[in-house]
Amino acid sequence: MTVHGGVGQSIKRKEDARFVRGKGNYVDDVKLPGMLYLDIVRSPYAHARIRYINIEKALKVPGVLAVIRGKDLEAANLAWMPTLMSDKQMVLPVERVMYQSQEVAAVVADSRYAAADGVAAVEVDYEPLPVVVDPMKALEPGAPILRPDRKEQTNRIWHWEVGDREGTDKALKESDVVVKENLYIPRIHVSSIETCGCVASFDAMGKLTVWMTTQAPHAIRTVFALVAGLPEQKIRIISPDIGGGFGGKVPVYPGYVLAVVAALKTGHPVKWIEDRSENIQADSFARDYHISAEIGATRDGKLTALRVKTIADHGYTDAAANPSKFPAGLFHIVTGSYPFEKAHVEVDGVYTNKPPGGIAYRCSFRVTEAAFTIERIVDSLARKLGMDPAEFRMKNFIPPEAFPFKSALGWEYDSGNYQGALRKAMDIVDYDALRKEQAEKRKRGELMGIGISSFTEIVGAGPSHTFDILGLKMFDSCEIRIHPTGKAIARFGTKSQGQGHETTYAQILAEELGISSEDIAIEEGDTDTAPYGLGTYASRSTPTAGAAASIAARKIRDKAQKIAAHLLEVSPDDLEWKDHKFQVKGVPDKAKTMAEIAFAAYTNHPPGMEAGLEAVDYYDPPNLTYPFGSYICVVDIDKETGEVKIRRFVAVDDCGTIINPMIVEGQIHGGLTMGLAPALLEEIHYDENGNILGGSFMDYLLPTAVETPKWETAKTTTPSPHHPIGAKGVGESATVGAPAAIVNAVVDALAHLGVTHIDIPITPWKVWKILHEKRAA
Amino acid sequence: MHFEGTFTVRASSTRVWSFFLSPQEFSSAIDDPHTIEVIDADHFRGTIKAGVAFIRGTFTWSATVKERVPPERAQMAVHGSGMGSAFDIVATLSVSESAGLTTVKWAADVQMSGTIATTGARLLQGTTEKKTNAFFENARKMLEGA
Repeated sequence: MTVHGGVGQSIKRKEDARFVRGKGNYVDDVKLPGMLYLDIVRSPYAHARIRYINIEKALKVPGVLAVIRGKDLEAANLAWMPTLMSDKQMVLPVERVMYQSQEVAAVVADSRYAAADGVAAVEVDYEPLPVVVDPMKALEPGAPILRPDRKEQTNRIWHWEVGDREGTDKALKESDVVVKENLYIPRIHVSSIETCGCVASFDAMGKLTVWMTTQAPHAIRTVFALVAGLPEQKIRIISPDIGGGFGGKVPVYPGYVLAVVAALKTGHPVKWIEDRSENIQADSFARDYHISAEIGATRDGKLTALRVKTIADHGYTDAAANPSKFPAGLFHIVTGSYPFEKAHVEVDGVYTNKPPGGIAYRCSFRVTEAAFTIERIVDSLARKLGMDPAEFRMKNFIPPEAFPFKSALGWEYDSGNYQGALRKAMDIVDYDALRKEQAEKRKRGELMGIGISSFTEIVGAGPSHTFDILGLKMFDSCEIRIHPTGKAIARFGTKSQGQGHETTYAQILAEELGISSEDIAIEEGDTDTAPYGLGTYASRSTPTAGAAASIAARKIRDKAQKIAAHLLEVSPDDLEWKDHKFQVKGVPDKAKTMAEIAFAAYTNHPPGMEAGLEAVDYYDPPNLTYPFGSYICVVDIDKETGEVKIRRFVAVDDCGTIINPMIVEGQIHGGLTMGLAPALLEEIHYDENGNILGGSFMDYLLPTAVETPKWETAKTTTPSPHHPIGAKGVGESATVGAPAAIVNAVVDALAHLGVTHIDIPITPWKVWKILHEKRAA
Repeated sequence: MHFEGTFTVRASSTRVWSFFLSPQEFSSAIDDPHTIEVIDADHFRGTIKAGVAFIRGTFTWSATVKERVPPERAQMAVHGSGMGSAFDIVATLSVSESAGLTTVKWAADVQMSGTIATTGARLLQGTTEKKTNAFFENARKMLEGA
């Protein structure tokens, strides 16, 4: 017997009832009596000394009430704030600006328009300084030191390495074949539909409430308490509906702090909402990895070793949101789906005159960079060996019986069946027929390519023995209350930004408690009511808070079993949980539903037992989870224009137990489109003066329905052995896996011309140039 | 961005040189609405309403004459800001006269920063070139008409 809305059912999303009717409640919908508006003066220079800031004219603009400068904050020790990576960033600069569009001053006014007029009236005199936009140049001797405030007088933020350096060197030296590729994964921006913003308000008792666009409200509350010195019980963070986060709403931006300062200064609630240009030019960026990878194999195609060196451009501060122990995130999943015996990875974080970079953009802490690297270079190696890339992968995959598998770089993969996923993708796409078609087309001079990506993800951060952010362990939580009528409310430490938590969490609880998901309310995002948690990013909600939901529900079941035994006048040991109710073993008619038990919990509970039916769980996962998949992309290239057309894209994903197949499919569709984007369209780059090029949607090309192909999705199911329901998380899989499949397909189409790699985004111009250089157009 | 050009004008080199060093005169060759205030012989400042595509607004600017070698050459530095943007121009002028015609060689190094460089990047080169050419064409007409 199934419960309505249980695990595995494609029920419609509960939250869509308000979203599709335009009834969502976002930060900009918050309107308070007497509310003021904050707008920000931003630097036109990427690096400059501030000679003076003249606010006299701005204060004369009708409606302008205050202007905040760095020196005003300095007096309160608020000019700088810590980043989540224990670096520091400016709220407002006192002496120097470090990137174009950096916040320089804030204007508070009684309308959005007056605030903007005030911004235009603030006079700032700058002395331009030498700009460093290239991280390689930043590391050269004699380069300007961008952060003289640090003890280490270098632009290298940190060096991090893992693996067996000497063993890897030796193994590569002894390999029959070694391939090296230099790969650049450019800066990209999350560009969520809703930009960042907040409303800050102090009540008469001095309690601060901030409605803000954050993916991690509890951690933000703690950071606010530490930075501002406010007692934590006097801070309430409310994260209402969020229009997309993708990692971009994890960091603390200066605008949030400025709104709080402005509310304190004026005694009024203050709203700050970024415009689109501010969002794309100044908020944290992702990727920007300069990667050099070498891979070795025996002559018969057996992988031997992998060496990866990377320069990570973090902009002027390391404001990434990685776990403390991993400054390069989980990039050392770069051995991917293969059992290398030897591997070594080193990464150098570097300062440049750019906005903070290194945030995870739907990639679970640098996993996209890792998957792209290994899946690109494995393809290059297969080509060098003259082997089919599918055959090469099949020959080298970690076999299913090897799980749990310890990788050369220290991870313990929980479960996997890589051969099964690739075989399924090959069957769906009819791989052999495609190869025949390609050979025929190549004879006719037509350009067709087939690309494979068999990625392994690593998500669900994470076990407390290894994972923390600013010392906060990366558990997550669920608190459940069953009401007397058998309905329930559950609160979580995570925060949905569109993932569908209100539905999927309710489905987990429905399955565990035998209550229809329709009868379970889910709440997140209010620090005054929800249990503490680290938030939603890096595909961690299902592996952590989803697991907490199961465990908390099982705690409730433990108590419910005792109540049921009391009602049925049997021993608890005589009962079994079957068909979503407690029944006497062997006597299925003698049973109690959760609704009956809940009523008794408040009206007829056993003597000596506390009333009520509640539980809370703070779930500390024993391990991470390792979703995986195999994608096959088929492209045709127009020789006249260089345009790449994706003819087919088959995505076989394995995220363990699936809670709601329809939501998972939606996640994969969105993720594939977000994987297509950097492969073919998106890039944020800078001119030599540090001007951001691509700072608007005129130049930063997001994929629309026109550019997006028809995605063909399928699944295999290999449950995680350590997650209570076997789920692994899926939010980022497709974004992680898609770029390599697309690039491999394009390179495959051009390989006979001697092309081994093209840096992303692969624009028509890049392809057209190659075709002309190779005289193939 | 670097721009340069050459044009000839039917006027003496002394007249041409003094035209480009006189703020009241050279400013009349600027098409965009503007104001100008002379601080001293080598320093001027003012405002100009200009922009690229839809990014338009008022910029404040100040200019300093860096070099004067009458009637042969001159160099001027201009700094402007506004609309979340800034620009710096270093312009050089070289003047030579032959057979009643004066040849003017000019060069300008332009550095744009901020919104106008970011959002208007694709149109910046063309717009700047167009405005520069218009300025010198206006100047030529004024010099020949005078």
